[in-house]
Amino acid sequence: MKKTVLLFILLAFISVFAFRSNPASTYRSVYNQKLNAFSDEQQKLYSLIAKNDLSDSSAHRQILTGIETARRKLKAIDFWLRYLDPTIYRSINGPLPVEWETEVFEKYEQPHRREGAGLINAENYLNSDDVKKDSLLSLIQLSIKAEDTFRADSTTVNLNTHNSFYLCNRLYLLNLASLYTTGFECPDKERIIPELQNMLQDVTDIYAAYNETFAAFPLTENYLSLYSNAISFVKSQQKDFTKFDHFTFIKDYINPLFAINQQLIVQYHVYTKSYVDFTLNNSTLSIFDKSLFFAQSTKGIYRRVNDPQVLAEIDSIGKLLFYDPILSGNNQRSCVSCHKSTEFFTDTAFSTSFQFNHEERLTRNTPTLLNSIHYHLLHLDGKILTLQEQAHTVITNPIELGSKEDVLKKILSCNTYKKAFKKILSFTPQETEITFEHIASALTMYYGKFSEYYSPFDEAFNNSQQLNNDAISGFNLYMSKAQCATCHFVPTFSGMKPPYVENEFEVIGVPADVNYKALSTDKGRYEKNPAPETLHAFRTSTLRNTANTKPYMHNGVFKTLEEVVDFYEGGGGAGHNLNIPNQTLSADSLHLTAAEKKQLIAFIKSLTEKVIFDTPPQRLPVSSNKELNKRIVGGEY
Amino acid sequence: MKYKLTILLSFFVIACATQKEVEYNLPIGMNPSVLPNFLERYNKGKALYKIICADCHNKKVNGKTIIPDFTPAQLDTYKRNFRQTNKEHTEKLTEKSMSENELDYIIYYLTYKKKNLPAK
Repeated sequence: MKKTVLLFILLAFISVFAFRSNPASTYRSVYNQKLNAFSDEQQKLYSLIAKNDLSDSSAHRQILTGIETARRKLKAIDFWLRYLDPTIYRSINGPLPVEWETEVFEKYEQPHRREGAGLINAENYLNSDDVKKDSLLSLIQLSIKAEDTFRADSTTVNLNTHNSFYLCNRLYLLNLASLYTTGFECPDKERIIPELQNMLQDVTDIYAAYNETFAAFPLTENYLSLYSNAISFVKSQQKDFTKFDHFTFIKDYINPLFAINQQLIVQYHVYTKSYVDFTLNNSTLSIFDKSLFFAQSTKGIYRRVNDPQVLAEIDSIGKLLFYDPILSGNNQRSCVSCHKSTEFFTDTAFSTSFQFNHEERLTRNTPTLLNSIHYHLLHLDGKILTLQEQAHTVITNPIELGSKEDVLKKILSCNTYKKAFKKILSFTPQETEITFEHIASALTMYYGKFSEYYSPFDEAFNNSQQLNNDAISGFNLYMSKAQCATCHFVPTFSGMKPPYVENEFEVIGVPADVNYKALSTDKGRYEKNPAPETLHAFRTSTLRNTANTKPYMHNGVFKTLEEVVDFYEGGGGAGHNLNIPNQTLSADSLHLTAAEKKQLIAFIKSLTEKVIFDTPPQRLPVSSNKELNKRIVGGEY
Repeated sequence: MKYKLTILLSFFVIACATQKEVEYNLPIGMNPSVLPNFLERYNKGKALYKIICADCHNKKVNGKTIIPDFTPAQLDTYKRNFRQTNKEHTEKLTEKSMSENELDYIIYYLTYKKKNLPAK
C-alpha cells in the first residue's frame, strides 16, 4: 500500500516537472498545428495516388488538386522549414530531379549528388509522358519522411528562443524578393500570385503567435502595419504574375520590411548557430546593399590588416602589379591585357582573347573582374575557390600569362616592389618571407574595390532615386514572363540565391556559332565534376554591367544584347534544334514582343554600375635586371 | 679518459637542451624527409594561433603562459563547424578575419603541439 502511494506521489512529481520543463507556448503550438495540417494533406495525397489509376484523367486531376492542397499547407509553414533544415527541406520542395550541391562549407569537399523528391517533382513527373505509380509514390514518401526532421527535438529546440524567429523571417523576406513571385518553385504559373497571397496571410498567424510568446522581443508595430500594407498591395494586384508589379512590391514593402528586421536582429542581439546565416551580414539595411553577404576576401593574406595607411600602400602596389607585364613569362602581357580598365575590366573587342603565343585564341570569353568578389566559386566551371588562387592560376597558366617559378624573383628584382613588400611583410607575422600570396592579395585588393559601386537600379531601392519606366517594365518582365529571375536571382542577378551559400550552374545550350549549327564543345562544369547533369553546365554569372561587357556567353558567341535575348526567346540551344538532353532551360519560346524585348534590355542597362575607373600608372618599377626594363605599362598584347 | 667523459657529457647536455627545444610530437609514422614541410605548417599554425586565438585561449598560471590542450574530438568539431559552435567565434572570427586555410594551419599546430603536463 505504502509503495503504491509513494509511486503515485513520484508520478505526480514527474508529471508536474514534465509540464514545467515543456511549456506549450502559443508559438510552438501554432508550429505543431501547421505541421500536422501539412502532414495530413501529404498522407491523403499518398493514399489518393495509391488507390487510383494514373491513366484515368479524372484521377489525374484529383491528384493535381491533392498536390495543390498540400502545397497550400506547406506554404503556411515554409517560413520555418526552409530555415530550420534547408537540406531536408529540399526533399519536400526542391525544384530539381537531381541536384549537385556545391555549398560554400563544402569548398574543400567534392560536390555531392542529391535525388530530388517532394511536391514540385511529383507535379512535374505527373505531367510527364510515362508516369509510373511507384516512382510517383516514392517522391511523396520521401517528402513524408522529411517531416520527421521537423518534429525532432534537435530541430524544434530552435523555437524556444526569439533568435531563430528573426532569422527565419530574414530568409523569408529575402525569398519574397528573390523567389516567391518568380515561379521558381511553382510549375503552374497561374498559382504563383494566389500562393503568394496565401503565404503572406498565413505568416501573420506566425507573427501573432510569436509576439504572444516572446513579448520581451516583439516584432514591432511599424513592421506589422507595413506587413499588412504589403498584403493589401498584393490583393490589389492582378493574379497574373506577368502583370504583377514586382518592382513596387520589393521597393515599397519587402526591402523596408527587411531593414526593420535587420534592425531588430541587432537590437535583440539575435544569435545564430545555423549555417544559413553563414555569409549574411546583420548590419546591412537594404537587400541591394553589396555588403548583404560575404563571398570572397579581397584582402587575402592581408585580411587582418586594418591600418588605412598600410592598406593604401598595398593597394598602390597592387595597381602597379596589375599593369605590370613582369607577371607574364615573356614580360609582354599583364592583367590589363585582357581585363581592360577602359572596358569594364573585360575585353570587348574579341570573343575570346589571345593565348600566350599571340596566335591562337583561348576557349573562353574574358569575364569582367567587376563583382567577381561576390561569387563563392570562380571561373565559369567553378573550379577555383578564392580570388588569390585565381590570380595564381592565370599567371602560371602556360597559355595565359605563362609565368614560371621565377616570377617572384623577377618582381623582387625591382627595388620599389622589394622595399614595399619587405615593409608589408611585417604585417603578416605568420609568414617568414615574401610569398606569391602577398603578390596575389595585393592584386585582388586593388581590383576588388571596383566592385563596390552601384547601378541606377540599386539606387532606386537604396536611395529612392527615380528609375525610367522602361527599366521598371523590363524588371517586371525579368521577374515573370521572360523567366530570367529564376536563375539570375535578385539582387545578385547571378546564380546565387538566399541565403547565398552556393553558386548555381545551368545548361542552356550555347551554340558554337551564331547560326546554331552545333553546340559549343566546352564541357563546362563537367571538367571539375563529371556527371550527366553537369555536361555543358556553366556558372550562372551576374547580369550587372552586362550592357558594357560584350561579347556574351562563355565563348563570346553573341555580340549584342539583342542576340542574347533572342537566344532565350527561342528556348536556348534545345529550342534552336540542338540536341541537349540535359538542358535546364525550358526549350519553349518565351513569346516576348518586340516592345517587351526593348524593355528587358532597358532594365539590363539600368544594372550598369557607376564605376569610377582609374588611369594607368605613369611608369613601372625599375628592375636590377636590365632585360626587364624594356617592359611597357600594361604590356604589348 | 677525462676527455672522453667531457665529450660524452657535452653530448648529453646538448641532447637535453635540444630535447627541451622540441615542443611538438611528430605525426606517427612520418617520413623524416618531410620534416621541413611539417615544421613549415606547424610554425605557421603556431604564429597564427598567437595572432588569432591566444588572446582569449591562453592562460597565465603562476606567471607562466599556458597554451591549452584541445582533444582530438574538439579539434575535429572545430574543423567542421568552427563558426557555428561558439558564439564568440561566430561574431569575431568571420571569414573576413580568418580563412579556412588558416584554420587548417592552427588545427595542425594544436594537434601536434606537446601536451601540457598534468597538474600535480
